[in-house]
Amino acid sequence: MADITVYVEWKLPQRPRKAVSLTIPANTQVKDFLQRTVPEIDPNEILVIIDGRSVRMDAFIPSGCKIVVLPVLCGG
Amino acid sequence: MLDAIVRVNMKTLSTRLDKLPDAYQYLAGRALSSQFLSDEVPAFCEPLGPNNKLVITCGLLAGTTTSCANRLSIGAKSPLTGGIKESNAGGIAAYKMGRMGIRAIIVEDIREDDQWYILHISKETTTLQSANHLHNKGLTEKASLLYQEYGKKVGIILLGPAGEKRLLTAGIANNDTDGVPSRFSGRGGLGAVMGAKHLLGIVLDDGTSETPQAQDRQQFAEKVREFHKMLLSSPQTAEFFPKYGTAGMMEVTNALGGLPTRNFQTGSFAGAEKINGDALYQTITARGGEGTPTHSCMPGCLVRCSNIFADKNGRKVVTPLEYETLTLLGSNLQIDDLDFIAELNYLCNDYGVDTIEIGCAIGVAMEAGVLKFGDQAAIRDIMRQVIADTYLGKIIASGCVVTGKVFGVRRIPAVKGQGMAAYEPRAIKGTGVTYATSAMGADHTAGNVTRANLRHDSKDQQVPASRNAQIGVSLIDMLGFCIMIAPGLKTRDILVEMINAYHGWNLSLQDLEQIARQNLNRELEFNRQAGFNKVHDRLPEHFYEETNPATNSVFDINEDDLAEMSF
Repeated sequence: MADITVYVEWKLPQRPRKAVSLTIPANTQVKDFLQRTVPEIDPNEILVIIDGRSVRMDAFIPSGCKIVVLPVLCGG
Repeated sequence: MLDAIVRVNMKTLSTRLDKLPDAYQYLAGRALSSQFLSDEVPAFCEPLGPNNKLVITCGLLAGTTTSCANRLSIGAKSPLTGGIKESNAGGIAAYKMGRMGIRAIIVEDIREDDQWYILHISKETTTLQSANHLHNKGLTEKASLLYQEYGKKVGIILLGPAGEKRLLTAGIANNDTDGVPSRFSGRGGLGAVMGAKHLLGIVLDDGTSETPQAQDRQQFAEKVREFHKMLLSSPQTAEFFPKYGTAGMMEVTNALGGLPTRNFQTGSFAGAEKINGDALYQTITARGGEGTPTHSCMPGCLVRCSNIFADKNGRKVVTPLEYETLTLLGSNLQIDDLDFIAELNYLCNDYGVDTIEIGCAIGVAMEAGVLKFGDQAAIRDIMRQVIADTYLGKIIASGCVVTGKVFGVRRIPAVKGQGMAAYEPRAIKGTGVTYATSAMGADHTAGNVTRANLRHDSKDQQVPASRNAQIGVSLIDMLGFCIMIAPGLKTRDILVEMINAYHGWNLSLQDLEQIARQNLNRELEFNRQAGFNKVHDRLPEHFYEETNPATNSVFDINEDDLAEMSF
């Protein structure tokens, strides 16, 4: 299966804030991406935004997209 | 324990101590204030008139040092929305109430003379004392004078000049662990209700009170330890909030296209990185001095999401600088300057007005062309007019709906008379559903859906998500906990277990959730009797017709969808 490149901004308290380009397999679902990259974190505690839109865990990650990975918060 | 009700009549200047009715033994916080309002306040009454009551309550663990368990809840019929209202805050007042065994303070009737009063409550006496010398003074000076008179350890619930003038943006402050009167029950114009009663403040002097003890001390201590361990093991409550505070939310909303910008015209702000949680943290830590990025507003709080913002010389400007303020006085006005927002925040706090409603009102005035977006000098001038009580200042201090009506603006971000909080409803639709359907009006604290695992700009599942959030918040509010515990709360059972151990009860989580649902229905029934119907459960028209450019979405959840909403 072909690989795709995505741009990821990590903004989780559990890891350093940074932005990186990653190569992942095509047709990767968000839940699989998280399992591969941050297996120690409960996905229910993560909000994933792809190209400016929040996505569900079963969404597929498109090639060339920008992924922002944030903690789930409760407001203020 | 925790079963005293203090009743104060401001017309007769009399006070009375009642015992909590047995039927209400499980009610506290928002549930108790809404119950009393439903029982005793005619839904159709004039909010600033003699038939409205101000009900101040604490939670079921108030007076203990359980983390996040000392929220102060204030309720009344709102002069801003015309419906039932509850607004809660941190601070130390609820802790003091709990230590004195007081579950509620109910302030009745009004005064129409020129006399102003302070209610002083100690273990021995409850008295109304003349306080004309405090009239028209800012909150900082009022608090300072009260500390000179009553000592620095008292809890104070305090009204600013805006409340004395019965302005619709007036909130009610209480003091934090450092004695700063900065914790606002800000929403709904409840300060105007207190002002109509000519009550400038309440002093809670718990000096000779004994520390309340749990019915099952060992079990309570064990459960509190377990709860604290949860908070300290969650990355959000143990690391994120102490570092970034509520301001950490800005990265989330901006990424979602849900950060109100330019009077809610869009949901993405180019200057967000200058005023978000990380910018706030970096600025505070770099400056040092009196500033700190982490601070407890309530006794025993482990989350410490509050902060103290200092200027370039390290001198304290305001505490706390929070997400809602950074948005409504920041991105919503196209301002990306932390120092300027902090300055505005202090002015609002000292005058005693809600930063959300003021930010919405200035945004609407900008839409009208009264001043330009991003114009700091003009914003500073209009804020000074608010404090000087000029006619323009009065208009702004009457909230965004009045401002919009006066200046002929059709895009007014409000529901049921109240300005929207810092969540753009076309991008975060579940919170938009809460704005539309809650008895509280456009209030994020009634059920913010940003936590839910769903596509926030999609129509799907938003009504159930809002329903769940509203029930959850109602539960947290009635127990007197702070909503900031939510990410660290692996299960709500721990809350019930602590309460059972403390009071010697045998409630289940289902019992408490049932009370929370009943409370939501009670609030909706109050509003129905006040004249609200489905017509009022809508966002302003333009949110259905104009897209949020950041998400290319409109608010498309219609009346049929909202019919699913029930508790």
